[in-house]
Amino acid sequence: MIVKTEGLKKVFSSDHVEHPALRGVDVQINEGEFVVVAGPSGSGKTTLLNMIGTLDSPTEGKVFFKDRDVGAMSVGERTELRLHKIGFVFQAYNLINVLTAAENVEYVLLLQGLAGEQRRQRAHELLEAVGLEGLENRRPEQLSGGEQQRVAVARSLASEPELVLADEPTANLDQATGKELIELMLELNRERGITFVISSHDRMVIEHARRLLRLLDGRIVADEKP
Amino acid sequence: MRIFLAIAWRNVMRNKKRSFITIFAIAFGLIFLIFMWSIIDGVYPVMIDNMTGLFMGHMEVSTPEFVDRPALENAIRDGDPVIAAVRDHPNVEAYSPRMRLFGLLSYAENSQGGVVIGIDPELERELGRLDDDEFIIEGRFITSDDVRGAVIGATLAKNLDARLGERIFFLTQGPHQELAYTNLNVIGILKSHVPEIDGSMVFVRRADLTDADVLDMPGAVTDVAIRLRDQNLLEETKAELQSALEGHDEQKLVRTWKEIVPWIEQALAMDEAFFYFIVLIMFTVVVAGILNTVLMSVMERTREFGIMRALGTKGWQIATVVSLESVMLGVIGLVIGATCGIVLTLILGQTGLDLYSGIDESFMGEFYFFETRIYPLLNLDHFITTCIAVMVMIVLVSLYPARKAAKLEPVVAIKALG
Repeated sequence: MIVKTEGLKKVFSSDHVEHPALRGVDVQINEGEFVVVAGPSGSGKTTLLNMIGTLDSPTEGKVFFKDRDVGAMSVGERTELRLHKIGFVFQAYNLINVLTAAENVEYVLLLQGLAGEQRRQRAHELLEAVGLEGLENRRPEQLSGGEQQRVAVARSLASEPELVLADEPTANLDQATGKELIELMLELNRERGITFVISSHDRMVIEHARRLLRLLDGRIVADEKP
Repeated sequence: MRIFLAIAWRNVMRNKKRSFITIFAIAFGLIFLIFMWSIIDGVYPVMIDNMTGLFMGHMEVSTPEFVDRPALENAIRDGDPVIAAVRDHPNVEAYSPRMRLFGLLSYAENSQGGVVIGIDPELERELGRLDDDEFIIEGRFITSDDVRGAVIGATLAKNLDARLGERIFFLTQGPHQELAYTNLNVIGILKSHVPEIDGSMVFVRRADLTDADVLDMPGAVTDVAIRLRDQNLLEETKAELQSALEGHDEQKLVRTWKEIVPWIEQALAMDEAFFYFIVLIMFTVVVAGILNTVLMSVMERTREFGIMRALGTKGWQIATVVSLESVMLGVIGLVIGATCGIVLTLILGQTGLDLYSGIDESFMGEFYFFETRIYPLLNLDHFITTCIAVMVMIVLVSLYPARKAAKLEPVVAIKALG
């Protein structure tokens, strides 16, 4: 088991009105799984990924990362956990704009304190693995949406995480580019054994799921292995 | 750290127009501060030198009673020990013992109240500048050989209608309330532009007043004026002299020019307060400029900071990036501002600046110690202090947006538009 949630609830409040986003989610994700969390907008997909990724705290319930209660960790410990164990791919605009593709990938390695040459080598390999060889020195604005998401995938893998969380990674991509991206993630899952949890309501993504969690109104309504 | 430097620098360059405006604000503020301070450094010492160097000296010794009531009975009967103490002090560059007598001056049918000041001409020449050619408009200054020779203020001479070579009569009160008088020969006419001097003073040899046939008070002085080798030694020398003069018959009082003409000190203090007020305004402008730029930059990049946090960047690392941006803007502004400030000050320090052109000369005469052309002076200590103060202020100002960025919750920041 890499991640487990117990009775996870999240309520957002605005103008004294409460909006429940998660209404009690119990799920266990094992190492090496390729999980797609599907559901319509507002079903709680992003909230669930944020909880698992330690970016947000639940109103109720618990999240365990490899048996460690995330809620009991300090802010610093959660930061370290994200840095070393979890990779993120966000929906869009997820690169550091002033850094080149290679620097974006290297950024995480720098935070980890990896030496210069080793860092550059790893960034080069990762960008090559996602098919961006030759585009290393381009800034985000010089890359297409698909290329930017590939850089984001390469960056999410840079720290050799055990878990990659991808929130609607194909939302801003055309069908063909989105498919290429998902196939790339599947390949990395197969070859490197990295656990992927992807949120999406894109049918193409759902079709590629090895395990499908259907979320509706903050509850898991189906847990399938297609 | 390299990556944070790169992010900070590229963000500074990302919005060139905004960065330029901020850098300009810092540079302009610094130029202004350096220049303002150099004016004060250039004007005040010259002003004080002009004022003290003409006649007053940096300090004077008299009896406390003479300060309250400048009458003969309050004079120092035996001036020699006082003169010796003053002469022997290592900080004293020049000194001039004086005997001031108030009385009636008359020539022919004209008479006027005035003060005759007995001096030791050679010592007075060393202390002051009354003997300068620019002030002696007719005749010459007295020497120790000019028995009963007198240099008379130009306005007084005009009022008495006394000219060079003519004899004026001085009537005063002796040490025993009796009348004392003497005749004085006008050998010089003095126009110092100080109304008090020109309108009422006559300078003679001290011996001509203290001699047996006038006061019969050999060795007496009413005060001893002192010029120091460095006016910064004012308070220290005052204390030392005051202590050295304890124990003589009469009580002695050492007063600095600040006590003799307190309004000058107050005027300078007011001037300085005004300067600090201007400094405060300039600092506010610079602070607002920096704060606006950095806060805008932080707000625009809220999402980016959220992503950095999500990737494992620590709060202090985000704060470092934001602070580095401010420091970079600050350093560029500082280098430009300091360079331009130095160049401007050095150029104007050579050419001078005519601040009082157009002001009526008769009005300026009242403020004889003002130079009509001022020469800004770059004081290294003040320059460094200004630069450090501006830089410290920039760093302090950057702390708020830096803290704000560091405290961003990743999930909230990522949700933000931008």
